[in-house]
Amino acid sequence: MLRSILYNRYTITFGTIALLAIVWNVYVIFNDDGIVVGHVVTSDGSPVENATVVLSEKTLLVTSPRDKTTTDADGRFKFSGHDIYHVYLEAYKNGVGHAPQKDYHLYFKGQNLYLSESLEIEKTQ
Amino acid sequence: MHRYPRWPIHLMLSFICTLMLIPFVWVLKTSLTGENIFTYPPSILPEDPHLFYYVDVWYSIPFFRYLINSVIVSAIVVAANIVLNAMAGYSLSREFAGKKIIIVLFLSCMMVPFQVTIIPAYLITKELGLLNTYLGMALPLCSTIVCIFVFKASFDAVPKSLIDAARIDGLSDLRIIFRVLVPLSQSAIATNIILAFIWSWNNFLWPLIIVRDQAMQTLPLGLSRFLTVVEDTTGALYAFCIMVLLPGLIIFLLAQKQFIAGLTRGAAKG
Amino acid sequence: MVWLHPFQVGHTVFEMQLIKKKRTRELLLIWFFITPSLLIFTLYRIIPLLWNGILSFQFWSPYKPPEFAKLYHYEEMLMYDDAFWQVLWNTIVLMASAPIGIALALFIAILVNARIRGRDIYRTIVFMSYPVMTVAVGIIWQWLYNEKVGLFNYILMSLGITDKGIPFLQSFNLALPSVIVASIWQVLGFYMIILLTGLQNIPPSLYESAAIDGASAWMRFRRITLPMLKPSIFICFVIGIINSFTNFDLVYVMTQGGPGHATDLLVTYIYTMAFKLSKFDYAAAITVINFLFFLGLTLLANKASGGEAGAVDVGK
Repeated sequence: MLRSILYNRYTITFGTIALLAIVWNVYVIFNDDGIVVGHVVTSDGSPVENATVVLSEKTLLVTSPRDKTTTDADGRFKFSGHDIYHVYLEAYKNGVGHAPQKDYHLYFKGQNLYLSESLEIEKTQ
Repeated sequence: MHRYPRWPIHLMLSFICTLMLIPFVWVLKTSLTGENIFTYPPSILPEDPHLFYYVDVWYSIPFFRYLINSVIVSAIVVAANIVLNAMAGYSLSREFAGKKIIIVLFLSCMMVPFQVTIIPAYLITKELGLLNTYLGMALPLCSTIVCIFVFKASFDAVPKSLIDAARIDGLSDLRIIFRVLVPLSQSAIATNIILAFIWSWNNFLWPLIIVRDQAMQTLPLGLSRFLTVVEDTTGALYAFCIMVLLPGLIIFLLAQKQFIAGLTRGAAKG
Repeated sequence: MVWLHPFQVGHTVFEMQLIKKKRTRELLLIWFFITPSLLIFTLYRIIPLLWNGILSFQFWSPYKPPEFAKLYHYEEMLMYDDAFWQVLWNTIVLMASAPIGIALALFIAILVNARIRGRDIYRTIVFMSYPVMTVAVGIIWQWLYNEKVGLFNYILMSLGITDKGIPFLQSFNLALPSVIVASIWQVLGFYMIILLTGLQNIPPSLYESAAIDGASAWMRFRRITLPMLKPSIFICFVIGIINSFTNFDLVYVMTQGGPGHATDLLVTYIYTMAFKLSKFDYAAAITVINFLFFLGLTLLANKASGGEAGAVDVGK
């Protein structure tokens, strides 16, 4: 009897869906601290110290800035605790230049993002 | 009739199925790549697919809320349907004075389509104070004549000897219903469940009339409202479409036989 | 001498009382069981039908009690409202397009009925368009018809038939046929299932004996298939009629009745009048006409099919 319940197509379908939902939620719980870690460099690869990085949120309609931080001596920056799912990053340093806005889609709010590419500041004259 | 080549039939059927499936495939493709006004000409396979439109839809509209609303209303409708229709079907399978009048009444109710009753139904629901509530959305759908007759046919098909034997054994009427009739009508119950679910899940007009708050909207309402808010043909709209279609499609694919059986039986019944 | 009912012979008085008590209990149970459904139908079908009729003869307003209006609304509708006639015409056109859908579905049903492998898959795929949410179908088709990115325009333009996109859903002439095509697409599956069931009920021995007698395939189709499918075809007709009088979702989502009233059906017109313009009384009058039309046509179809084709409680 247990077999007929287990192999029933409804149990299989809904069971799989429930299982996937649980696994996904567990993954989300472990990875949603809202951390964004990245790296600002100039166009020839040297890290930029004290550049300002702005974190913005993009909804379907508008983009609005949420947080700001500065890079340390190695040009690294870190945000944490945000709950955005579509991230815009922009970096600039007065007198040096400005990195164009780049956007990153996330799969869930506050997914941890460890950027592999760096934000490149293009020198402005 | 048995010695003609098969492949032309397969070919024609495949062509027809492609025609029937093109709309779905196109929507799926657009939801994965988000082609819009600026991408022309459209292509067949998704270039560069991504799931981010689904993320957009999930967060920027209260999809989960709509889903829960639809599920609750459908659950109420399905539960009420099974109970009420089975009860009515049982009554109709017994003999009593006035049965003919009741049957004529039911049949004539079948001739009254729902769309004809919307204005007074709205006023009645308002008087009952059920505007904007789950019960108000579910109430008109709680019993359908087709399903009553399905149950009636199923109860009628139980051999009288079985019922008589149960009665001789001393079972009361209620016990007979629960122990004998209901277990034998499983296909009727399944048909009822799937028909009631699909009708209440896809129901658009009645919630459109009844619901005033955005928080109480069901999936079809949410979909059409989204269409008016974001009028551009973006991937988000089509992702929403797919997300809305998916549950109904899954349930239909799981319960095809019952669904088709229920529809054909309902269509053929007088 | 006591007059005895034939049933009473052979039972003692005590047994008679017991039987009567049982019967009463049974009757109580039966009526108790049938009351909830009866209540719902009374509340949501019978009373609304009657109230609708009454409303159509009143001036209704949410602020004051209704006043008797005699035939004011009917006069307004039949004499002064051009939109009403347009809407009625649209509904009739939609209904008249049902045979096309039925013919197509018959063709598909015959194909699916052939003994080939995978016919269940074909059947499911063709039928899939029906249980899908009509709102989603409307959005999909609206996009297919889009004049800039729609699939149809793309095909037309790449075949070189037109230079610019044709605004299917915005043109006065093409809007209604476009909606009709979408409607047929959706209901095709339903027609096909019914015709398939009818086809499967034709005993193959008939075909075999006809083939032995030397009848060609076309003759077999005309003389055996069509007559035996008559009830199914009439059921499809009735469904087509019902569809044209109740098809709200598709039109509302695709065109909202526009442009102008080119795609408005009676149902959508009633909805606009009642719930957008709050003219409940006028809308009730239109509903009465809608219902009478619907009833008349359905009864006619029933009569013509020579029996109980039955009104399908489609429920949507």
